Amino acid sequence: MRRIDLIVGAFAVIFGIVAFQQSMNYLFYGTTPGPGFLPRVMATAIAVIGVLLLATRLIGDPHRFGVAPELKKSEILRTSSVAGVITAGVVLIPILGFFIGMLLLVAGLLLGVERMRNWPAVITTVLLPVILVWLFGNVLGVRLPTGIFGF
Amino acid sequence: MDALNSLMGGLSAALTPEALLWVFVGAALGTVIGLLPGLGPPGVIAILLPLSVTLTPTYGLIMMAGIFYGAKYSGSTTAILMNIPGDSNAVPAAIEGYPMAQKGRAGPAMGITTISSFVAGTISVILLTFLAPVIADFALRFGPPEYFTLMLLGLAAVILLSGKSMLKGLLAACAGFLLATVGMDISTGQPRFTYGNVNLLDGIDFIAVTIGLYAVAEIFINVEQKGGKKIFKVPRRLRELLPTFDDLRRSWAAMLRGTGLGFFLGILPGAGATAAAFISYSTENRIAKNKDEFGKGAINGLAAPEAANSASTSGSMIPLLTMGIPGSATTAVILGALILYGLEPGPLLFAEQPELAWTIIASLYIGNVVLLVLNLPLIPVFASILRLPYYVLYPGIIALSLVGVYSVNERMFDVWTALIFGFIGYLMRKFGIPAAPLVLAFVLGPLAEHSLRQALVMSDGSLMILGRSWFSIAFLVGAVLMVLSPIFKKRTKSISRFGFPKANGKA
Repeated sequence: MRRIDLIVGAFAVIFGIVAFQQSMNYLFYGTTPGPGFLPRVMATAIAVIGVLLLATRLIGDPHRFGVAPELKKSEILRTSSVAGVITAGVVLIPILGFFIGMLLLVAGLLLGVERMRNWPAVITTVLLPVILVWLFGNVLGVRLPTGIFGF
Repeated sequence: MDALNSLMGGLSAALTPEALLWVFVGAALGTVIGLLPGLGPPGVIAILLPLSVTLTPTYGLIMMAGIFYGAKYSGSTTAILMNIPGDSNAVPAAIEGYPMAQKGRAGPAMGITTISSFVAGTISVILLTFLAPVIADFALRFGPPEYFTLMLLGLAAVILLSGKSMLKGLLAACAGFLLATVGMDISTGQPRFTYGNVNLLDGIDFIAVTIGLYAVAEIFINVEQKGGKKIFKVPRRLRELLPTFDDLRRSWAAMLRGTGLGFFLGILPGAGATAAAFISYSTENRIAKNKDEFGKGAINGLAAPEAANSASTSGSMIPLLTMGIPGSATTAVILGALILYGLEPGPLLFAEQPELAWTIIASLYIGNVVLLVLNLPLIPVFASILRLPYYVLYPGIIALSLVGVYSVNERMFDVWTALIFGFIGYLMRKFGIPAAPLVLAFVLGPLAEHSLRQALVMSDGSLMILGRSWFSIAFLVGAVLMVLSPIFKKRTKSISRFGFPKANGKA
């Protein structure tokens, strides 16, 4: 966990500095706090916490911070594939429309990632987008994205 | 006594079979539509408004009370079952309810939220009935300094939500604060961190952030193993689906505390149910004996914010009905509905149209009872969702989350926001950074910033204004004590380690 905390600490320092630099575009304090007041205070706090995190993890017994959760290659691969399918689905929804985009997203997860090759999986793949379109589009009147096919 | 007589009049109007039918229909519709993520009570009421305005004012208002309570309650159902906080005030329900569901206690979790909602709703409506004018006068004395110190007290709770590492909790809170500043500055109109993107002018959508951090991140964690990890212990017997006597014993005090806090915060315009739920949750965390259980399925940690959420509903009705001030998005929609009915909420409402005014209050009582009657038997139905294998459940959860986030503002930008926060939430979980402080700061940050700047405008920049009233002094002292409490605790521990006697006399 110590190594992870060092990464988090270093990231916080960099993030804090960048946020501080970006917040310089806004007035810090006029007669009262300006729009840059809170961003600059928070950016400073993030950088300081990052430094403290680095300092506390570098000094003292490295074992007292516990063990980092083990991450297997297969686990990373599975999470990445699920995340990839979801991201692809979100990219496709405005292009192909909500119904087809969501159909492909669910199909990608159930038939692709989970390799469910049975009737319940196929029915779920088709029914889920149909129900969502009916519920949100028809009943609740949400204007769902329509793509190149016009639906 | 006048209030009691008037209430009886209101109840007689609201207890006809037709009125009961409409309140039941309202509660059922509110519960079902409120289950959909992204549609909080204001959204649900707005969607169903065209339906309720077709009725007579009496029945329409009664139905709206049912919708209101139904929508308020159901946000916690998806939070418990799927880790999807349907509404911002359901985040504490996700923090404590979802781990309970994983342990096979989804039924008791939903049961306790129903009972908490009922108890808090009933007590707070009684308070509303008899104390509305007095409390409205008290709420008017709350100015920006009091608001700011109250928000500080709420934010001090970050210390309690930090888990194992306080530094990481503080880091998450500061990040939440910083994220909350994205968008147009309320005071000056200057865009902050928007980089020319018009979608960011209104700030980052709260629902997108919470659904990303909780629902999407949870899916990324759970799908790491093929077929999904064993996520839920599925309850089999009916007895396992309802809270036990021990659950009630452990929750009743939390319910009462949540009710008091929620009612008080509900009265204050702008504080809202989310602040009530979070402050109540962190207060419970602070004073509970079972602190170790918090975050792992503490039933009192679930009961308190749910009670606060429900009580804030009645509390928020006080400024609306007595002064015509809508203190939240929900009451703003209700105000719109009242105006559609030709009513003008404000000091004259009770004098000029007492029948309708008391019907509104009576319908809150009835809406509350109907919610209990409707939802307790539905617990087994909702809990049966958990019987689905996770590899079938999670595509449904992700689809529902994405469309729910989209439906709030009808823009894909929010869907991308949810997805990005899903990745961030996943990394935060892996890196041991708690999400709750980020969410808390994201909610309370803008309120705190705005009230601080208002207070300093009032005082020409002098911070002394923060000590102008006993309320703000009490809140400040409370916040300082809360921040310092871990240091005191560490000191006490190290003193007792060196052999100094503890309070009970043992070394």
